[in-house]
Amino acid sequence: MQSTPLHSPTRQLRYSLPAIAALALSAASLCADPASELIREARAVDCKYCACGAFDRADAIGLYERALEANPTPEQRLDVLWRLARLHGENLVPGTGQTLDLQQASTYCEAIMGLCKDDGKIRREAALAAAKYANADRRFLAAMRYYNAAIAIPADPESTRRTIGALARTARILDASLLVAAMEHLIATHDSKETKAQAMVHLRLADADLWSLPKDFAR
Amino acid sequence: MTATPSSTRSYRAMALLAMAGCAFVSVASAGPADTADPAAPSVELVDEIAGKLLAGLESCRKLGTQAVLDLIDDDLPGLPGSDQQPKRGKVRVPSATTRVDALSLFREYAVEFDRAAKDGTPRTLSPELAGKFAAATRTVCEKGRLARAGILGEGTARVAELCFVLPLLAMPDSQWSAANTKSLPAWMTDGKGLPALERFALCAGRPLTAWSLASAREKAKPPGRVAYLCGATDELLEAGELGAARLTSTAGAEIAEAAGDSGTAAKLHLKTARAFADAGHAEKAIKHLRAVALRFPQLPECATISAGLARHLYDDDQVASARDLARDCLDGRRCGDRKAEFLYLHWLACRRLGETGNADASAREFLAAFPEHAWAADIHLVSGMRAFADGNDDEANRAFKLIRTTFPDARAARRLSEFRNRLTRLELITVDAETGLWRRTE
Repeated sequence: MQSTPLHSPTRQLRYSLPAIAALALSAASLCADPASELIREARAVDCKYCACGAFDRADAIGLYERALEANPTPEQRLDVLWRLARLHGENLVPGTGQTLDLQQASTYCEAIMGLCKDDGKIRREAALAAAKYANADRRFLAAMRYYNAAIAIPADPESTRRTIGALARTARILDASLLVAAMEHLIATHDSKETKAQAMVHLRLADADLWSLPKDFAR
Repeated sequence: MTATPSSTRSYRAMALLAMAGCAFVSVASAGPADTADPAAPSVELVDEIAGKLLAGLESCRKLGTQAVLDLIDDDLPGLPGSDQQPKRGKVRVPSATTRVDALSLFREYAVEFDRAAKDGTPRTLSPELAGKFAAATRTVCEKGRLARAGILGEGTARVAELCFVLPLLAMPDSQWSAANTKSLPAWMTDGKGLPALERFALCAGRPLTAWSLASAREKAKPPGRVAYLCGATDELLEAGELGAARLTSTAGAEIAEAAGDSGTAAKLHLKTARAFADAGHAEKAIKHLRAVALRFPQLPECATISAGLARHLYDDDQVASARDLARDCLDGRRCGDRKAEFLYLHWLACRRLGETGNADASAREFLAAFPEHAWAADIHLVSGMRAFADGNDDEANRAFKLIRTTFPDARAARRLSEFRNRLTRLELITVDAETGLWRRTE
């Protein structure tokens, strides 16, 4: 058979070279970005991205944790930290009987807060999530710390109101005087009128005996 | 179910009557036993009289004192003051020890007593209570028939006399002559019933009568009038006998003021205000002290009255007014020896109003001036709690340690201890056994 230019060995080689180069490049890029590959693998078993049947929490967590160690980009790191926090802290697929690790979830939220020092919105969101996990874990002092961190970041009045309310409720679980102290601390350290006003509301609702004069006063 | 004011009053009336009943028992049972009179009235009889005291409300309301007098004349002749002589001479009345006889008193105060029983004027006991006493007199008159028939002896007459006189205690001291009040203890020759009668007189709003009885009881060392009324007011306030406490403190204050003892008078006015406030009439307490303040323009009394006024304003949720009054007294050097009170109240009121800056300034001033004062523990607790809430555990531990070591009996120490126990139970902190310092577990 007469060889056509297309089928000539020279030509074949010429056409194969880009494919080989692409393959080599692709392999090289894969080797250079193991984080992406690990994230891809993790998503294959993470219920947010896969079908419920494929969900494997332990595998997802393991792969995401490996991805964190594989030098991910800041965006990838943020995304992975959120997924790890939620996988540790929330029962994402009811009925799977997973054991939560609320403290670990809070730790990942703290990592997010450290990562996004310039992004108040994300930092606030992470602080509130951390507070939620700490409250669920009955680590009320830690929850108060996270709520305070969230309140320190400017937000819309409604969010601030809800966060101060959550702080007041958490402090109240421990002691009414701690609630008062927390609210007084807000009033003393915040410039926002909204924050002061909300703190005052909770201050007024504090137990009456905290405001009572000593029995021997003016007797 | 919560007790209404009227039901509370009637419970109190029952208690009073029970006390009066005790007085009858102790008097009547002691006398005849000593004389071994075969016709002596039994304890059962006296119990019955006391029982009638409790039971005779409706019937006695229909019975005025004139009817009682008619009964006396008809059925109990022989008692001192009776218009008629005893028909059979069986009732002998031991009148030697008394300077005023029961029926004379009864006649003297009958009209006013009737009015009080029907109207229940504020300075008397409730109409119900007064009516019950009227029932008691009727009961005694009925028993008098037995006495006249010779069934009962001289003890009955003593009980009868008491029953005539006790109801009259429901009328205020001011409506009695001083001589009659003074002679009252003579009714209780054996003295065993005096404490009960004294208590009864206090609850009946007869503080001077109570003092008279107390003096008879403590013959060796009779109490001074004002000192007695001060102490009695405190006891009544603690017992929740607020109306009686108010009458007692008012009587004491009047006497003290008349004697020029304005310091004691001012303190008694504070007690009067407390009686109003404890009864749920904060506005009356405030009004009373505002009126009284005009009579005490000088230190230290003006500071005493102002401190009381500030307290009642604060307790009545007039926090800003209380704060302003405290500030005025502090700025105008009208604190006298009550600077600690004004500073403390200013601190508390400012905190309650959300004025943390002013509160902190007052706290610093208080701690500088009164570092050892028991109330300083409250300030340390608040500053420690605020530091703890802020996560500043070192500062919190410093404040908490100060409370533990310097003010172990203060209410702040108790509250701190409860808080610590709660946190350790939740495993949120550990406490170093040696230093007592708190450490968060997380």
